[in-house]
Amino acid sequence: MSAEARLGASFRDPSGFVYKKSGVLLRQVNESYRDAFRLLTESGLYESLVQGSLLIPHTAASFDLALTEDAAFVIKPEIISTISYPYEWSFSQLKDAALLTLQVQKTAIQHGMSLKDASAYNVQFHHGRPIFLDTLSFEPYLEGKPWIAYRQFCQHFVAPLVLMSHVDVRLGKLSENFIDGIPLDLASRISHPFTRLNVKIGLHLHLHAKLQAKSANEAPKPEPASKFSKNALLGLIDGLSSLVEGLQWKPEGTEWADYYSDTNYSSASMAAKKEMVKSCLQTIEPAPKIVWDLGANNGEFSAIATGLGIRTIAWDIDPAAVEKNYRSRRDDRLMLPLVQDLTNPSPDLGWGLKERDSFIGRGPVDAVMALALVHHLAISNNVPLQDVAEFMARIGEWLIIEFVPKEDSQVQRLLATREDVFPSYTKAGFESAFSAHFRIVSSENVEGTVRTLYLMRRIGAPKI
Amino acid sequence: MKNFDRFVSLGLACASLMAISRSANAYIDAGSGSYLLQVLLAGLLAGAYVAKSAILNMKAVIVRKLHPTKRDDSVTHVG
Repeated sequence: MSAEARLGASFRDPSGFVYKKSGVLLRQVNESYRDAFRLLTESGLYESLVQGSLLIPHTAASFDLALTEDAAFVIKPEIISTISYPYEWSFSQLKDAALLTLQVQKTAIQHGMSLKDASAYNVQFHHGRPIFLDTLSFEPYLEGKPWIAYRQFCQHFVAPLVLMSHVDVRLGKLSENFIDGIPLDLASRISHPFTRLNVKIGLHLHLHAKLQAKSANEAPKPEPASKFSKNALLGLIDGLSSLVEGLQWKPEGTEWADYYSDTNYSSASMAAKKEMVKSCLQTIEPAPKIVWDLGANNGEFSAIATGLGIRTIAWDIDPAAVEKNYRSRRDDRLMLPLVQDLTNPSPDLGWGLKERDSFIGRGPVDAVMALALVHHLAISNNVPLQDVAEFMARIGEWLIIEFVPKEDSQVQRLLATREDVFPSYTKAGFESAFSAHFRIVSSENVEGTVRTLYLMRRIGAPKI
Repeated sequence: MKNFDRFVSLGLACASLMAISRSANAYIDAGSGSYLLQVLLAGLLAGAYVAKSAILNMKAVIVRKLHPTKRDDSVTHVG
């Protein structure tokens, strides 16, 4: 088999795998999964899930496109435009993904099937809503058998959501360190002591962690198995749904969550800047299909791009800003808000570093917006302007970027408590650094401010 | 405490057996502790689900009687 063709994350489940052939994304269903795959269709489960927008639809593909000899079917799933990961989701995004997984499982049980895995990586955001991706995750339901994916569901969803809700929302980033979900003993140890008084969290996290630790040292003994009835399984799914729905987090009090209400922009300047950004986006030829808005905050400027029909990924370091964006624009099918620390972006992860793509690896894109961002990278994080320019050239062909000079009150605030060691942080220095990678198409002062907005186009091919 | 340990050991044995008798499609480790917890909670989970479903069904019947034209979507059918 061509290892290059099979996607790096698609190797665990012997039921099949996802691969690319001649640039087309396909999923091979292996012979061992033939009967279960038929049941998925014949039971009406596939239709029910697709009609409810719970599962990604697929079409049958030619059997000639199969990659290995043990193929039973080949299917062509609908394409997800941008892949994102649980450690990049805000609290509500992870919560919605958890509830979707439980809804999928409940629907599966009603059709005589059950989820055999419950990884958060089986969920992606598509047209603004979470959707289940793994068509081969269903197995025939056997009455009397507990849910095989219960542990995985708790590690991938319950543990991070409890930590984000009851300890600190930034603990969502822990998922980046644990590819199969946060170990329950760790989550139990660092969660708030009061969570032990919550019956549902007490059972599904704390007692669960305790029994896992105890069972690790026990040898299996052949004894008659107890029955786990269908009602017990439905009660488990119901209890987990109720636990997840009860977890809350309010996005406030972080550095950026109230940025726009705490800025020195007048409403006239803000309106002028929005018009300029819109004009820049409309200037780009051909019209961009996808834009990355870096430092997007609550997505106010990203919404200009989506308003023009452009799919937009609104990246921001602050989980509160991303949460606000997600909550306020659930109906915007073109917007995807994600958490990203540009000073330490998501790396390649997993087996062979091929399971999860890095931030840069998911680019380059047609256009990048970097509004009110450069001073945070160059001054707060000491990144030389040349390096900022080189980074931008790696991820986008077109660049809409705002230069915020030292005279600006926001930059003065950054410099108030530190030595100014940035002699080249000037408009001329900025233009010189970016001219090494980009051609400046236009530049204009933002009305009522000392800031300048640039439209640039990369010179040559992306700098990989 | 000793009785609890004995109960846990028995549960673990059941869970281990169930873990062994997985279907052919299973490929992840269910974790015997996770199986055990489900086995231990089975009665409680089933009881809670049946009770909740009964309450919702009863509520639906009352709503139908009081408002014959109104449809209650919260009805749950016990499997």
